[in-house]
Amino acid sequence: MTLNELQDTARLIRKDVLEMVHDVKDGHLGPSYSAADIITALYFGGILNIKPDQPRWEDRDRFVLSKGHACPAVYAALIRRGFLREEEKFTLRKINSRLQGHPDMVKTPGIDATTGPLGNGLAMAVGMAKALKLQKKASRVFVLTGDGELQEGIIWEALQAAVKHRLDNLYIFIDQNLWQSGGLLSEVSGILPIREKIEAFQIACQEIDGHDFNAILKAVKTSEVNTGPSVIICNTIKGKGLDFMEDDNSWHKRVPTEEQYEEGIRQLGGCK
Amino acid sequence: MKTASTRRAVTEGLLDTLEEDRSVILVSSDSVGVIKAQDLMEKYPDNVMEMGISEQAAMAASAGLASCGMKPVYVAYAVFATQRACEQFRNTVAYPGLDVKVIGANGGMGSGEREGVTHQGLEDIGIARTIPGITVLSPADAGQVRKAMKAMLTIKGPFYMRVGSGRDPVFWPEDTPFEPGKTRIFFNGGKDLVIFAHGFVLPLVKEACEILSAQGIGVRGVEVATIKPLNNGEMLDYLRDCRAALVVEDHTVIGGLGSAVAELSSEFYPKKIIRIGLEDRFSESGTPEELFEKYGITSKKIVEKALNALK
Repeated sequence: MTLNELQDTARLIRKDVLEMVHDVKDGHLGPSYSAADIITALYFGGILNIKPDQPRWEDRDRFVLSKGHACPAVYAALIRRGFLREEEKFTLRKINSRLQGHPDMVKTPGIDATTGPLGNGLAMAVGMAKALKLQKKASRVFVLTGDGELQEGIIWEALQAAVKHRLDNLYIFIDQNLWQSGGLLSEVSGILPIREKIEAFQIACQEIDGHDFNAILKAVKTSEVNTGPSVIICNTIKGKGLDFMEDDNSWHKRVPTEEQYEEGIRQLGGCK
Repeated sequence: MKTASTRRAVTEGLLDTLEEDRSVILVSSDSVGVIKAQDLMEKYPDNVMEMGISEQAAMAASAGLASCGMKPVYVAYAVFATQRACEQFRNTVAYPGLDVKVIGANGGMGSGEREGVTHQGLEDIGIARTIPGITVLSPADAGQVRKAMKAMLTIKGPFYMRVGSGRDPVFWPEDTPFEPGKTRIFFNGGKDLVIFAHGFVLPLVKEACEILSAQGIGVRGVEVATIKPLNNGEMLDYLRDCRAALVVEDHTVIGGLGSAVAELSSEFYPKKIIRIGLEDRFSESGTPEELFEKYGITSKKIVEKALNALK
């Protein structure tokens, strides 16, 4: 995809997410929007080697959404890549749906790890990356974590193991929007600064604009030479894409009013 | 009493299996020494994933390994495997139904012995039992553990298996098979009373059965090594026929086999069920014999409670 096409796809994914959350009156808009460009780059920028008609293909790359609450954006990407049917969009969080409130690797084609409890996804990805290396597969494992999520101890357990096992097939994106459910990271926790902590673990770390497709794609390329795991810190804006939502943490998990919904659809490209 | 290590038996079972199936991988949170697997590490270096002292990440990484077709066997102390890493056991292993075998050492106070309460798995079975989809095993001795390892590695899905201290009483003859899902009668002296038990208390229970039998009580001793799923058919046969039942286990009396038997009995054949185990409290450091004496798991206590139950 060209840069314009990627931007357009990300806009449509944000629109899908707004429609889904508006329909079921539940779900995480802000965290989905900060991660939407990273997710778009992975699924449409030629990063993930996957086959929509064979979601369990053994040689596929894996994607683990460790910040599982941003799954509406991944579901939208999976629908647009053909893993899921278009009409499933409006089953999010509803009974008998394949689109659970948090990712479910058994129910949902295209979902590689059951996640949501923060931190677990990264540790699962460490096991996946190790297995794929032992099996001498070229497959890679991509993980997307939140920045608030890094407060979980399991993250640092997993990182030290990833270093020890020289998991050069493990790519970790950190969606650094600087907010968590309860407020600013800097107020709720002592996790900042993140980059220094990652680098203290002897992990190759880049810091980029998480809304710049060229930067995301280039960062993955640059990471390919690393002899261990790679971390790409993506500076993002929570709620990115809608002016009334950007950097306003009340949108962590908030349902838009009819007016906000209409305005959101208008900003994201008009027609529903 | 002859003893043998149920911990080393885990390694023996792994070595047996690895000869045929190289997708098996030992996941360790610095627990290679726990099961004395140094020789396995040397022989099959690619079949050990050392995670460092990190039970939660080790459990979740096991899930990741299984999701990519490996057969991870994660070993830790029972208390840490089922409690520190409980949420990962539930959400990353059991919920997706992944093929992860979790082994908990120091199961019970007898095998936690001098380590003290912090390292004793007193609630492991109760915790594992409440999580949907986990098969829970508590084999009797080292020979049984070795065979149970091989058996469970041929069955897909999450398992929890309890092992001991490494100085565990030998109960069954060496050539006794381990059959997952089956109960086994180890003392058959009548049907008035049935005593269910699992793990390292079996020798005590057998002794109690002999004393009761000598006093003219019709008693049956039954080993229940597969605690979940319970073999309801076999269990109900025993319960239907008895006047009262005892359940003896080195575990808190809440949530373990005693609870499982009471739950089943109350629905089908309500009988008097006496649970013998660690009453709702913590134990302490000491030898297994001293601990069992102080906390009420002795053949004398079993006999006393059995006679009361039949009154």
